[in-house]
Amino acid sequence: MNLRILGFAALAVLLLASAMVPLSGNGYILSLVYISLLFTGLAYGWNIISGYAGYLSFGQITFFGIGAYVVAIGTTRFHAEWWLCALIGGAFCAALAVPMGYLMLRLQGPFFALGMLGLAQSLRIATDTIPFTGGAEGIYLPPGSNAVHVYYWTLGVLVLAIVLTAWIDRSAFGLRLRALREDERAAGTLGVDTTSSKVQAFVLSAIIPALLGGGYAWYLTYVEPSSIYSTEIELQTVAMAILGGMGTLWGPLVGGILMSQVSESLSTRFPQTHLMIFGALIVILLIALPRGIVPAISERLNRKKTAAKARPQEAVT
Amino acid sequence: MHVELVIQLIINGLLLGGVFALAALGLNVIFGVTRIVNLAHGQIVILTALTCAVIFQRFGITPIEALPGALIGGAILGTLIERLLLRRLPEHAQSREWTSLLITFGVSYFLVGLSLAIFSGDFRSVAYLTDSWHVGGIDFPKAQLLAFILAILIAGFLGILLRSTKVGRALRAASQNLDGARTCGIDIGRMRTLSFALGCGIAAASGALLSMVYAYNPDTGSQFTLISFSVVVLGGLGSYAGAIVGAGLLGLAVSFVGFYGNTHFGSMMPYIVFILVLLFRPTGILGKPATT
Amino acid sequence: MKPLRASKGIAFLLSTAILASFIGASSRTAGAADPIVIGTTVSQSGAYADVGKYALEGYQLYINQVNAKGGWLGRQLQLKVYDDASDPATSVTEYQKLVQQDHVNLIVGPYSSAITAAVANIADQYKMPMISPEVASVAPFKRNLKYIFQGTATSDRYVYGAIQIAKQYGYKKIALTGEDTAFPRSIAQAVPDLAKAAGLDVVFSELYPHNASDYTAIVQKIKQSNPDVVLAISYFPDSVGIIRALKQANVTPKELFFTIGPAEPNFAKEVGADSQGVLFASNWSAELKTEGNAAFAKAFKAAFGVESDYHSAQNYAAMQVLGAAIASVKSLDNEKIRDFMATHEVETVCGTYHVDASGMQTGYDSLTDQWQSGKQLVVYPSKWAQAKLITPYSWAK
Repeated sequence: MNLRILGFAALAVLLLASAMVPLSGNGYILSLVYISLLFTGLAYGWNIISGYAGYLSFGQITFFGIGAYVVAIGTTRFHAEWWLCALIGGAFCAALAVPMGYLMLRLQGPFFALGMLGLAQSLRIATDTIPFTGGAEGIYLPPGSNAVHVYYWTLGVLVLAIVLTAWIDRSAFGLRLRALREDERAAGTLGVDTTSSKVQAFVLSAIIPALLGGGYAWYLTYVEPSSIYSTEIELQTVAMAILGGMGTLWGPLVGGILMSQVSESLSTRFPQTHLMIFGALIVILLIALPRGIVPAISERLNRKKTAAKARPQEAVT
Repeated sequence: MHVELVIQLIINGLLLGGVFALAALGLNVIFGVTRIVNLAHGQIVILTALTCAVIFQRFGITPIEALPGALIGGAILGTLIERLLLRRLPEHAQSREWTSLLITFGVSYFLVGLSLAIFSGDFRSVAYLTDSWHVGGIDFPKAQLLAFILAILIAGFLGILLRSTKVGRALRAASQNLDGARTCGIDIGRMRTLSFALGCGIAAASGALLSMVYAYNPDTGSQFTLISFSVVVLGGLGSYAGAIVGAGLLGLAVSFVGFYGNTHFGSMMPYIVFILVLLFRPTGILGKPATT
Repeated sequence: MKPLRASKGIAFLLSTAILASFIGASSRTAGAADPIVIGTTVSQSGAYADVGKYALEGYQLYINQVNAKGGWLGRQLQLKVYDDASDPATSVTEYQKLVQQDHVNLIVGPYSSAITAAVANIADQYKMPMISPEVASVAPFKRNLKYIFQGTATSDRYVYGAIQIAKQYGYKKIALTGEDTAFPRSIAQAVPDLAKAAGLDVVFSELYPHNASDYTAIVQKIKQSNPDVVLAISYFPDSVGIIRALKQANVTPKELFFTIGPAEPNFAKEVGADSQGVLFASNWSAELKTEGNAAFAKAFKAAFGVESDYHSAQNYAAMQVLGAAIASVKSLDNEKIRDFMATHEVETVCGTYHVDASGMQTGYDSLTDQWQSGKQLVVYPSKWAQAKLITPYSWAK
């Protein structure tokens, strides 16, 4: 009981500290932590459909991009408030995710993963072509130093994502997702409506990146297809969530924070070879901790606990 | 006049298909046996292409001459990846396939970094066999034709290997039923290593030939992987004849849509076809189911 | 519930560790005779990695030369560079770091419209003037920001020479293609008006997407239009793709012009003999009779072992402008430097630098070069021409 309260207190401290970062006036730390929050949030979003439901996707950037473009178009063409546009982007992606989910979630394993990637690529090319989205030239949003606003927005979305994940983790919905992840057919025979459960997960996984993407557009004040529908961002998100621990509550937090910090300091210290080191690091971590950092640590702590419980009995006999 | 144009479009489409097929066969071998999508695939193609460009410019060695070396180099790389890295994962780990996928992702990052360190960001190409044979008013680009022929040869070789040799049958068994194969005394580990060696060797060979077709730099690897996977899915899992047919059809689609529509839609073809096939004909053209 | 409890403990430990790392951010204190630090990001990895290298060399040469002569204001210059990985968000973070953490005195601009658009906000935020040596599109400067300046000729000048050449030799029909991204598009948009003014017809016009997998279809369409001139507004890989496809399809235009791709010094090596006669746009040439250019070209070759290309020259020129500003205002006051860069003309290796009220370049012009026997030579305008134009174009045997 104590540990749980301690854990939540720690999270509260962390969030409070993050909330205070903009007050330091240091633009660099603001940008750095923003990127961490952004990727952590994306990892949480990814974690719902991929970690809990077991449908790994390489195409969540689709919703991130749509969210970004809705803000870009909304603020320039319709002169609306950016955060309102971001909310609309979120709602739009939620609606879009329903038919998309019904279609795409019929695919299994790597077919779903790469199918989503193909979808994202198609969207990128389509955005390149259509004049309404500014085409390949992109859209210039009104210039300004929006980092602080976007920072708080992103922090808010991250908190939302954590709360959502915490609820999923302990709810019947989460149980249904885990069941269909382990064995979809068996779950079906036990009365779980697998189709509607996974579509719901897919919808939730669409809203979060959409909201984050909206903030991102306002942060950069410029969108274009290749920076926004970026496979880089997608793959980094996936790597973070998996390294941290898929399908766990704390996995994306650990993965997101650790990896974005590591990536940044590697890039500074080893400008020529940071990609090589980063790749090697991913490989080594995956081999050493194939289920991710959080499950590995909790496994070890649990083993100690069960060992401790076993010992007193042996002493008696 | 118009007939000639259509024939030319068909030839261009088929030869483009040859390029796609060549790029995809390596991926197909690995995926077929191990169910792992080798995300480092595209980077291996690129690394070989870049190497061939440099040795051509420095020593005059043509990519054709470099082909055997590329095959062997790729095979060694594939063996290393499988034995040093993927082998270390516990056998029945829950997310073994996914972790393996992520490991190849890490390897691809590593290879991009390595390519940048060795070759810098410059684009490179091999200026050899850059023209066409002109037969009766139709142009046959030499480099692409070679790629097409090699693709068919490799697919044929793989087909014979799998159907008529002991090793091949063991590979097929391993891909169809892991535990059953093991019960029959087949060394699964060796089958995995063999598939990686073959797959990466073929990827490297395709890189050698493709160095004559386009210009590459370390950043261009990832698009290869996706298109290759599209071809794998289109042709049907585990079917090499299917991969050739699928690649050919894809090439034709890109060629015709690019001409009668525009190049944007032509370039979208691989992705659109990929999604459509996944949704409406998951078995692909000649293969086994993509959904369970 | 057990794993949940244990992992909460982990969260606690990690959060304290991370907090500690944030608090541990240090600041630097300045001392006497400290170097003048100039901050920038270049694309050392990612999509623009080929250009990033050249850009860096341009900066480095200037700094080494100036330091040998005693530096600026009696202080040595130091360049602080980070890799932006060709990504706007990364560049933003790194520029923030340069200003907030490394306390650089001055900043210079990155490559590409996307990255510059994002970073322009930082220049504005900290009121530090930033000259962008590598952004030729006009759109970023329509935002009327006070602190960014364009250090390269605007995109519409890039094709001017090619069209004048066509007019001079009576080549009437133009087939226009190019990559459908921001910069090439802005160049391509200038073509119809320029062609009309010269009395030429654009008989074909279509752009292809970035990373297109096939050029044969669009080349077939070009072939059908039977052009005299092929203008391809393309980068390196697509230039190679198109020139190969043109050859394979037996299309022989009398004038073959690519914009950006062939400007890179290794074009002839990668393309081979077919590069002979290819025209391209360049913003600089080694034999340009601009101020200090001969010395620059020689010094560059000595320092890096290869000929400079226009990227390095532009970056070098950007530093020259900055140097002129500092020499004039005799301090590191960013407002004064900003005012200087906004209003003055500076002679650089690229020509006469001058910007208008929005920061857009009006002084520099583009040249038309041609690859001849493995060398890049200016053929237009005649004022700067180093060699006679080879025309019509023909394929190597």
